[in-house]
Amino acid sequence: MSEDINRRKFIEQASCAAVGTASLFSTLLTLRMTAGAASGGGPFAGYKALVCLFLNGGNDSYNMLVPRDTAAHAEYSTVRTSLALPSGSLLPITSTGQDYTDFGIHPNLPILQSLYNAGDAAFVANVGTLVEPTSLGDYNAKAVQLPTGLFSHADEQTHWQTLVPQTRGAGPKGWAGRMAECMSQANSMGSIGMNLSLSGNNILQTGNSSVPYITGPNGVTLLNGYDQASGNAQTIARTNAVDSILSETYKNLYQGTLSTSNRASIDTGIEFNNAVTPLATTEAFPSSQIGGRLEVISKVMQARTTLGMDRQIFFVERGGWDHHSELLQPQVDLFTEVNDAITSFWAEMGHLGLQNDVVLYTISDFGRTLTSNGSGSDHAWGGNHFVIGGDVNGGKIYGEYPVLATGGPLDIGRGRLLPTTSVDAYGSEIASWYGVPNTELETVFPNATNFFNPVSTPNPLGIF
Amino acid sequence: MTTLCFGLVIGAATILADPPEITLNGSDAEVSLPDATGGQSFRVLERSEDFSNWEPVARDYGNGWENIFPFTLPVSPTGPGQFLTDAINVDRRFYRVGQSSSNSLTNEHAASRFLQQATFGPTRAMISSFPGVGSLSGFNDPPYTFYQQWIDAEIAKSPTLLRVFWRERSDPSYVQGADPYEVAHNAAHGQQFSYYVGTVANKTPNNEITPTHSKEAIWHHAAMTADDALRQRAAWAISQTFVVSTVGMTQNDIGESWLKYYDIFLRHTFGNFRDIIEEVTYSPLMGYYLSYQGNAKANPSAGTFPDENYAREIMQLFTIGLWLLNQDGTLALDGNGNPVPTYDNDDIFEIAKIFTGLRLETTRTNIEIRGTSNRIDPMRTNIWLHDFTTKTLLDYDGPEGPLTRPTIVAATQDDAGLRQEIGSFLDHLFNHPNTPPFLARNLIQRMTASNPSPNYIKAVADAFTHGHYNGVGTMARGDMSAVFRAILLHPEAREATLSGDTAHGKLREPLIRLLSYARAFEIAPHSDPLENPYGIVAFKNIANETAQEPFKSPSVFNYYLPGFQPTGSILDRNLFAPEFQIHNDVTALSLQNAIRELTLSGINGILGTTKLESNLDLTHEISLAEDTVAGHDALLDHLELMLTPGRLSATNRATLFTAIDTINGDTTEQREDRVEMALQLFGLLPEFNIIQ
Repeated sequence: MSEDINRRKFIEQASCAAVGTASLFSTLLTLRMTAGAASGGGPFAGYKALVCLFLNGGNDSYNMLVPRDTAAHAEYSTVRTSLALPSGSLLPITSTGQDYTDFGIHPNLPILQSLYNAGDAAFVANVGTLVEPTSLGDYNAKAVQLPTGLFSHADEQTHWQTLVPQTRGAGPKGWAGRMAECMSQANSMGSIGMNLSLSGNNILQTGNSSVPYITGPNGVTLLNGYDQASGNAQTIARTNAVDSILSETYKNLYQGTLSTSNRASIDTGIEFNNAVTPLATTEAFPSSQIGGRLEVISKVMQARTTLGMDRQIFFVERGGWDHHSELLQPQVDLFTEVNDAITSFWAEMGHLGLQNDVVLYTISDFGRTLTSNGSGSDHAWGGNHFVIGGDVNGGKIYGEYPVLATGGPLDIGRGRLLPTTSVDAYGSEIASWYGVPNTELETVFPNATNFFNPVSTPNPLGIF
Repeated sequence: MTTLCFGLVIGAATILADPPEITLNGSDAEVSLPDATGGQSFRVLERSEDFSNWEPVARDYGNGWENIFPFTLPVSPTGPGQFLTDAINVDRRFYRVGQSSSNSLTNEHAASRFLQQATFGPTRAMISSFPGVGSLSGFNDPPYTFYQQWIDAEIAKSPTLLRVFWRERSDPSYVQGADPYEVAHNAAHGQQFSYYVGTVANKTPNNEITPTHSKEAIWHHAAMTADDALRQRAAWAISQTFVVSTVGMTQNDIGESWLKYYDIFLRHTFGNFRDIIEEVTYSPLMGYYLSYQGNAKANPSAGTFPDENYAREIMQLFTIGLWLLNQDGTLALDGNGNPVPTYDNDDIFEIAKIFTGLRLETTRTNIEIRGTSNRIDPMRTNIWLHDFTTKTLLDYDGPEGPLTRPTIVAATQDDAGLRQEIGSFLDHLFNHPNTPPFLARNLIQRMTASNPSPNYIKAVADAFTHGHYNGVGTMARGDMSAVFRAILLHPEAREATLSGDTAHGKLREPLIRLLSYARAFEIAPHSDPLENPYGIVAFKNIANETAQEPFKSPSVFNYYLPGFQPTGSILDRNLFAPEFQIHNDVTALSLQNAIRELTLSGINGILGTTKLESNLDLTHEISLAEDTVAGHDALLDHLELMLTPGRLSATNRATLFTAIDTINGDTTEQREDRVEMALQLFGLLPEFNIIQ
């Protein structure tokens, strides 16, 4: 089998440490082969999957996880003015390890409250992109290296995904892409790559030598009129011509990139279609943007054996969170969508017996200003996130929930909070659970050692 | 560290026999660049440290040697004895010069290639009527006189304005307003489009084009059929800098509001950039989209601050960008070799104060109003909401260091004072040295090349700064006609020898690839009113097929970022390819399926609609497609001219020949089959999808 030989050869070349030499791997079909050649078992037994939910635009997460403690809620109400949610409207939870115990979840996220109380969900407070630990004094004196383009959507979205925020742009590639390359022995029987996106191209899943397979919520896209097994002479002629065009070598960089990616799209689509399209979920999913995508993900998980996958990373993006002028009602609508989609997804994971094998987590551009623009809020920095999964040490808020006030110890101006937990720590927890060896965490998170020792302490927060 | 530099001779035919000479000059190597030899050839200087990975660092396509991204190493001025200076910071380095000759294009191919850059796609009539296309010599020679003639004629054409088109065909009670573009309804057209009055959507009887869809339907009709093809294409490019989008917005069904906004770019396509940023800033649509309509000064007792959204994006996306640039688009560096931010968050906080006190104009009749909100007229001022304190503007005197920053403060705390402040700040951005190269790179990327050389960017930036290209223009800073002349007439856009440069060209936008099929094969509305009661060529909800739809960018960052780098050979060379950001496993194939569907069964076939039928007219192609070798050649010649002018490789041509040759017989149906087969396969050709 020439494909197997190619894959084995690829793996020999693509050890985790050697991922800088992207030029060795010039075809996207090869790029998808982040699966290992070593057959069976290996270090990655069983099935595990990550679902990254990207809240594009900057979720105002200090209205997602809110103090209910009387004094803290009063402080919160003072700084947020008309944006403040009344204490009585919040869904109560408690946490150890913070300045106080009483917190509340946004009223339209009841699934988070129930998963949190069942020990299957946790929050991480005031997470943000950092290059190194940064105090307010450091920030004001520019005494440490800071992320480039702070507070800008495009830059901060990129930083969350590359986790090399001292570098502009997507050049460093994404941490899920690097994870796939560090776990090349997973998915030994796999026919598609480890990374699968339901929301188009993204930086997170793009590695130095691997790209995600992209599919949509409406099912697999195939090339119409292309069928190698057709009995129709014209279809055969067309199919042969397509194969011929795509087997040419194109010196022009754009032509070559287009041709190799189209070849991969056609082939992977057929394989994926055969495995996934016939399946149905037990649970009914809402037809929302997130709901439709989590439904497809559930089907792919159901097809994991057919597809030969034992490790998968899924990417779902939902836009609409940039609430400059109107926060309260739009966030109600979006959280309702998140809530209903996750409710179906979690139940479906129960049907598939995968609740302990799945982790769903959020990323977002940044948190938002505590102070108001009138009825919305502006770009800021640190924000709150949630992690769902049977293996999560749930029922707790990790990191340090900050003082919500202007002029506080973390306020860099009008309630923009300096993050106290780096995305590296948050990501390392997730990557370590997923199976990245401790010794490889620094490859996945190049700045990690500025914050913790990933070899001895791969779970610096204790979420898993 | 000992550094060894070698000039090389390699056995390959494309490597020049004479190695470049190396002179060590302090810590620099000076690499001699061979003088021009004449003739149509492309030459490239490459360097390597390991003899296997070669990086292009300079090129000559007939205009002398120049540097190229991403290294932009200094090259001495054009003329005999040019040399490149390379800092020696590695143990050893090898250099070699490669050369490739390119076939010259026929006039028709050259005209078609130009029209692929300058319009939504060539038509047969545009190619055959192109100035000078029948001339025996000089068609492709600088200063590209015939192309200039074509551009002159396009600029002189009266603009097809989308709001005008809509008003003439919507509310029968519309009369001519004071604004010349607020035209009256035209009874000859009847009511084709829905319009709001109060809370009532006056829908058309044929409600396929709903209130939400009228703006995109009209946009598509103009893109496919309007006579002012350069203006339509160039305005589309500008509009991708000043993005507003229905995604995340409410009241998306007020067509007149969106069309009036888009007309800013159609009215000023060849006007002045200063007018564009003025009208955009006061546009109620932008006011909503970037949330500064109703924006109020800080209120300490309520704990609120001005919204920073517009202050940030007008700088980051519309004018100056994040980093200080040289006029050739390279990063200006400080003394430590680091890039210099154009502003920081304190500046944003300050400038947000300027954009306070703008709000919607009061309601009135004769425009489309839903409820009572006037989303058509420019925003008015509310001086009580405006922050009249003194604002400090940006320091743009260069990386050397802070000079005194300008400040602005209103002379009078009234309507005039508020407008004066906004005007002063827009002047500040308009005159900022970053604006010309920032805009130049963006617009070049939209029209001709993903990785324009520093020389190309500088030529376009200079056209902006001085208001002319090769002496043609208004001589006023910000002249957009000069900008587009420079983009289309610069040798980097025109010289066919650049096909030898593997980094030259761009992936065409997916929407334009689909539109170019419609234009090349003369799409027309179905003549039966039951199939197409509107009589226009319109797409709607085409984003599933193209990943791109007018008025529906996913965010203010447009459909793709200028700095997107797809994994693989483009990233390896640290180059960019924005359109690849929306080229993926879904969109790559859905676009091809849409092209196939358009060919086989027209617009209703793609969209699943019943009342938008428009079909390609393939009569000419079918007449060519007779079942002989000559017929196959005639068909392929014609399709190459329309879709891949001068680019179709011999191998792919042979593949296409074989494919259509499997269909035997000369009935109309068999000829149609050959045409359809060929049209589908052309869509997949890299030579079609990429323009060079």
